[in-house]
Amino acid sequence: MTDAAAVPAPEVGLVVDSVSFPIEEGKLREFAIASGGDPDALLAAGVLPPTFAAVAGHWRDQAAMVDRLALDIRRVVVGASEWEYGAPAWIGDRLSGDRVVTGVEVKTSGMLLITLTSELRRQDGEVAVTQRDTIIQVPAR
Amino acid sequence: MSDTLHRTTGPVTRTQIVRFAGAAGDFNPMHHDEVFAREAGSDSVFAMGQLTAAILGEAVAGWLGRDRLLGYGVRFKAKVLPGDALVLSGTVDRERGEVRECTLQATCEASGEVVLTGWARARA
Repeated sequence: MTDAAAVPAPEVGLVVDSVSFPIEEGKLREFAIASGGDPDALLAAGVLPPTFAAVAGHWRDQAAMVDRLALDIRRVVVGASEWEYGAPAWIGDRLSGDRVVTGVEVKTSGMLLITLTSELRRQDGEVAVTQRDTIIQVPAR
Repeated sequence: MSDTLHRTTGPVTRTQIVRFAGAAGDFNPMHHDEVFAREAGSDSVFAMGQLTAAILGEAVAGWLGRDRLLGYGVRFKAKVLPGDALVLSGTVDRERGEVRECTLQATCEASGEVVLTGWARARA
């Protein structure tokens, strides 16, 4: 069994990375089709898909994130994701924000749970969407 | 608006997985490179959890109203493989003031296995 105290874990408050991405019609259309939605209905509605902030993945270096958090990529899975919606954002807006470690828990088994929170703000500073991901690193065998 | 969501999707295809890789920027080869996935011990490529989350999210937005959603969250429970049709379901558990609180689930139609559980909050 892994000694929980020996599991390298990041500090709460660590800024993992920063992201800034434009909301584009073409990307919205691709995302809607890939999700089994109707792109014309989406564009007519003028509201971002619930999980659209996931496209920030395009603008991030996930390998660098794993290094920065001192994780072993072979043992890492995403356990949960959630989104809270704030100010409306649409085509022409740019969403920007830091991805920050907001929770760290090491189980006695050696399992590591890390919560990463990204507050994505419009160019006027209003929070459009907050995404929280729970990253799980299973214990080394 | 109905108090429940119940919908069966078409089977997830490799093409859809690749399309989502491009749309969302997730190019982990476990999701599109069959040779890589098999060498890594998987029977085949499998869908990103974020794809299943987006499929359920689209259905929930249509059900509760796109402009009414306040929050949405999922827990990833099991892999979704190419060929898996999904049964998406949701129920309104309670209304607190003007807010509806819902629980959500996605299961594999063929096996009945729960692949995703979730919640949503929306303005009534």
